[in-house]
Amino acid sequence: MPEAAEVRDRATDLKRRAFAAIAGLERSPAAARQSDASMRPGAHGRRRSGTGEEFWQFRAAADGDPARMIDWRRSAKSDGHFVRDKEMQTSNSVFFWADASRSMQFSGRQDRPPKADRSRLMALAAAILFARTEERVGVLGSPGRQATGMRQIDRMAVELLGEDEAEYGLPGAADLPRGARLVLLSDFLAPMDDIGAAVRRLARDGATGELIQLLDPVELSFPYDGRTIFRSMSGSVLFESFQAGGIRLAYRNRLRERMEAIRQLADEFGWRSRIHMTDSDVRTTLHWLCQHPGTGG
Amino acid sequence: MAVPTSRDGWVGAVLVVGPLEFASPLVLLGLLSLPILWILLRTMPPPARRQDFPPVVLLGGLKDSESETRSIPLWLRLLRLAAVAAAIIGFADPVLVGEGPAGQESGSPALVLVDAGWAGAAGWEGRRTELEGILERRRRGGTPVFVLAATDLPQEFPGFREAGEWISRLPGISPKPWTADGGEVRDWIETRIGGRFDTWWLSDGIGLPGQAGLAGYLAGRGKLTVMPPSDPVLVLGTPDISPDSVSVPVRAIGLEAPITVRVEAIAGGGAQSIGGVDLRLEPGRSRADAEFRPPMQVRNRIRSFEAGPLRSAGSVVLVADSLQQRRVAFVAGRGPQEGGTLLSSLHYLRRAVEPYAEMVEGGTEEVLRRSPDVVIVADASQVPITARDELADWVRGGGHLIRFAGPRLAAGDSLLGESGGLLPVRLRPGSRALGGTMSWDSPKALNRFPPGSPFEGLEIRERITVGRQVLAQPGPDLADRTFAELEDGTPLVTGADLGSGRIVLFHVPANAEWSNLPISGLFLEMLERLVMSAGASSRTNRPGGGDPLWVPEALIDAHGALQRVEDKAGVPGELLDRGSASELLPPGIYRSGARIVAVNAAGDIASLAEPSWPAEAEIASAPESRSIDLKGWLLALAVLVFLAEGWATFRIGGRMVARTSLAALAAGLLLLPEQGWAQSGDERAIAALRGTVLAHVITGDAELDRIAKAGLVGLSRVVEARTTVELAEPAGIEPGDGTVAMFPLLYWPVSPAGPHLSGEAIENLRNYLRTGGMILFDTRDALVQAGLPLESNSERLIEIAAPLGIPPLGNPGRDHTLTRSFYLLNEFPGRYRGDIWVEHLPAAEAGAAVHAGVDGVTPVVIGGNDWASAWAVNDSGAAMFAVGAGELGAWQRELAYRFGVNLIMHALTGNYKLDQVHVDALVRMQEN
Repeated sequence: MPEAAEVRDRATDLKRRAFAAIAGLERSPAAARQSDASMRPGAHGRRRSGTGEEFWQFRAAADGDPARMIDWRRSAKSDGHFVRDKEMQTSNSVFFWADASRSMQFSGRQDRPPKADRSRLMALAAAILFARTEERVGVLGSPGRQATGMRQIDRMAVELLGEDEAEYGLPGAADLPRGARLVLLSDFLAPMDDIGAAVRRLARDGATGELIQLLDPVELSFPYDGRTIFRSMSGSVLFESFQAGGIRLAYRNRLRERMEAIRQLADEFGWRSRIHMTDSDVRTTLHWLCQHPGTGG
Repeated sequence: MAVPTSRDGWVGAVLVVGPLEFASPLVLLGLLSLPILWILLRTMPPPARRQDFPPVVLLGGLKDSESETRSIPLWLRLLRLAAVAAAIIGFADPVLVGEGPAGQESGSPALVLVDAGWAGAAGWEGRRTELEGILERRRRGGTPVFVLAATDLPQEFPGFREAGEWISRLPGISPKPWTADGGEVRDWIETRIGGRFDTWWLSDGIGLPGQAGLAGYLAGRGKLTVMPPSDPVLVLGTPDISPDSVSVPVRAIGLEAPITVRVEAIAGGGAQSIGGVDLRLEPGRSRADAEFRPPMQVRNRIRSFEAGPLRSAGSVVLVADSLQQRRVAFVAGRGPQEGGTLLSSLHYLRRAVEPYAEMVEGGTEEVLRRSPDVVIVADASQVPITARDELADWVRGGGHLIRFAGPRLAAGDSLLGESGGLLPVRLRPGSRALGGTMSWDSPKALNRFPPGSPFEGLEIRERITVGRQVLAQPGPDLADRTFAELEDGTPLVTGADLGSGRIVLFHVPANAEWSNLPISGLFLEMLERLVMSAGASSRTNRPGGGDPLWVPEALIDAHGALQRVEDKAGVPGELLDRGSASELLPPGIYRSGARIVAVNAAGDIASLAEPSWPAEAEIASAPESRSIDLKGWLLALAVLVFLAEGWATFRIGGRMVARTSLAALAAGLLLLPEQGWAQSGDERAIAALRGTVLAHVITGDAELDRIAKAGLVGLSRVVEARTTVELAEPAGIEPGDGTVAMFPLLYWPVSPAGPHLSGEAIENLRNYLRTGGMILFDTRDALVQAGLPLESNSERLIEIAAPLGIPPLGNPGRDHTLTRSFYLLNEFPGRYRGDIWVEHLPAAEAGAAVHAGVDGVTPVVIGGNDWASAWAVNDSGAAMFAVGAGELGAWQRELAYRFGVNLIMHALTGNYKLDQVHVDALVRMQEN
């Protein structure tokens, strides 16, 4: 299957670029300090006893505690028997949705990658960062379950390359584990009501998450002038202006409204949101993504 | 742009509007279409740009502000109209006719007098334009005109004519390689043209003989306006020849700004430059001498000196044979000489003059008939008594006789009396011996050469001793006649003038019996001085006189180009004696019998002067401003406006329109006359950069070039099929083309008619070879080579190759890279099987590891095997020429291809392949 080979090549390339993107993030001393302080996703102490690595408390042995659980050293200091409890630790599951719809194929300049490329890259780079700290990662709506480790990254790289024939993308519904975290990467240009409905459905299960709106710089600046026929990527939506420069301000207002709507949607569930321009550095957003690991802000 | 109001009306098909003239006025009707265009443009909306834009959903419902934007903005409409108008006017061939220097039209007819001598040739194109301007203005003024070329006076005066008629006849007026005579011109005008007329005089910048009279006369007949040339006139004088240098006087007449002049010595045959001297001339210092110190062999080949820039017949000076080889005659003895070669009295003389002189040997009468410059008599007894008077006559007529003493001269009393006329000094009978067994004295050494001697300045490096010599009778004039003397003042070489010739006597024989002088290096230099001075004195005399008719061999045109001529009527000798070039005696090279003489256009350059003008003459300070052809400019403007319009449209509307504008721009550029860009060389260079391209030299022989091309095509196919080298279509190039560096290998079929190389071409080729290029010279004459002396092709090759700085050649040995760069080869056949020559490698290094500096890559491969014919294939890929017969022939063709493959590999990889390929086979060869 030649296509399979091509997909493999593209996946490998995507992975290579994702590693390249996070390389600087880890190497830079400033970033390293930061990551000590804040970039600690992965197994999170649950503030109660359970299975884990860290010492939590000594307690008196109760009935049913097996003898091997007794901490003899502590017990020898007093008359009772003590058991050493560990703090309960669990892994988060992080789900990524990289919008691959037609509108994400747009690029405002030939030397700039399309938005979809950037969304995949960021999703995979973030997944690698999370997987390194033992988080379980996965692609939203993919049949494969979330998991951790490099094999999962390889799987994700292939899954992220899938394409969506829809004009504007919407995150699909999924059966999420409790306490899951969602990272949604899209231009969020679908009808706002549909977006709101989709996100609400996902947030219903108590998931936390981030909305990252990816935009091409020309989508912000609207550098057009003169008579122009604007059309969506598949040509299904057309709009003709005889003097495009004249509607620039009106367009920008509309766009700002949409950004605001996305922010409000995130706020509704205590999620975070952010705008990412495809000409800006991917690491800034990655860093922002990792700063507050799934604690709901 | 207003529709022209025709003030001056229509003249023929030409529309004149103020200073503007339209050659094709009908095209201007196109301007009528502009209003229609205007309306069309107003109603047409700008084309739309289609833009992919995902957030288009956000645009829904937005409104454009103004409706005006639905049509093209006003300024853009104006821009388009301007472009169209410029194009229409441009195609109507407008010409802006400039106004000349001030001067009222007196109504008299105008005589336009053009010097049209060689001095005007350098700036002739400019002069013609000025002439055109004058005629143009007369035409508009309706003044009748007569154009008179002073060097080409017609038989009759046909009357003043309309100026327009003259304009078409201008190409017929061209400069001549001589100067007009002012007196003759005046006579011509006086006898043929009556009444008053104004004169426009286009001067060449040098005064004509009778200039002042003519100018005064013309000023008397009407207004005289003089138009001096814009450039100075550059002239070369007769070279001053001394034994070791040639100095060419250079002069610039009418010099107003400093110029740098390059004087080049041109050798015969290929007319190549063999050296140049740069001189800077300034207004205050307009004369200089170009000094050349060529080695004797090179000097023999100099045919002319040329100066540039501002080239004309005056900046070329032919030297005829004054620099050429001297003819030296030896009066040889009758019958075989006793003793061995080294004792022969002529042996050392022959070896001495061989390098630079032509030698003739024979009896006295015999050699004199071949008009030698120098006769050398080694021993008096060999000149029969009967021939002595003849010899003496020849010396009086300018010949140089060099004699040597010997036992017979010393012994012969009778000889003394008889040959008194043929000896420079009287001799004492007998000879003196120094340092012999019977002598008290030791051999004497040579003293410094006395001043005034032809040997003055020669350095005596070796110790020259004289053991025996003949002695001169002391006399009052002995000191003057002594050219060389011994330490004790005894004359060793004496000389005296006889008539216009000279007799020189060496007081020793020409072999080593009496002295070691003849076997010294000094002897060579002394003889050279004598022989060279012989030519100088015998040839500076005016040649005319006795010879009745001198036939021109080659003539120089006004621009300084030397053309060989045949079947021209001869000119009488008296004319040559008068010296200056004229219509009857055009400058060039004349021959009478064995003698050759050059007539130069400039003649005596010291006598040339700037012309002087009478006070009444008006000197036009600036050349008459010329007409400006506006067509190119207007069309360029139209294209630029279209371009601006296209850009603007692109800003407003879509890409498609921009492309159309670009196409229009491209079309417009093609229309630009002359101002376009011609780039054939560049195209070839670009083609060469596209891949590896084999090239052959365009010889000018169509058949040869076709074969060369077909050969390279055939070879390219074989190389492509068998190796990884990918070759593009072969190219043909002019030998000196600057793009030659693009080609790794140049195939050069040599033909006698082949191209002559200019100095620049030689420099290009030298660079090419120096920087790693390779040339395969093919004389295609291996068949004849074997049996016959050098064929013309080979001679031609020598001519081509001589200036290229080719290293010493040798046959490639068994270990040369060429034998193994791809195939293992022992021979390199083409259509013939002959030897080839490559750069000679010292035997020790051949095949061994590459030596420092000697990388074993030959810059040239020379042979006569006609490879192109063996390689050549026609369009269908079949061989064009038969090679050999049957199987053997097929194998020979295969070997030819293999040689080609090896050669290309060698050219592309250098010596890299030397030790890399065929290691196995080579090891096996070593073992066997």
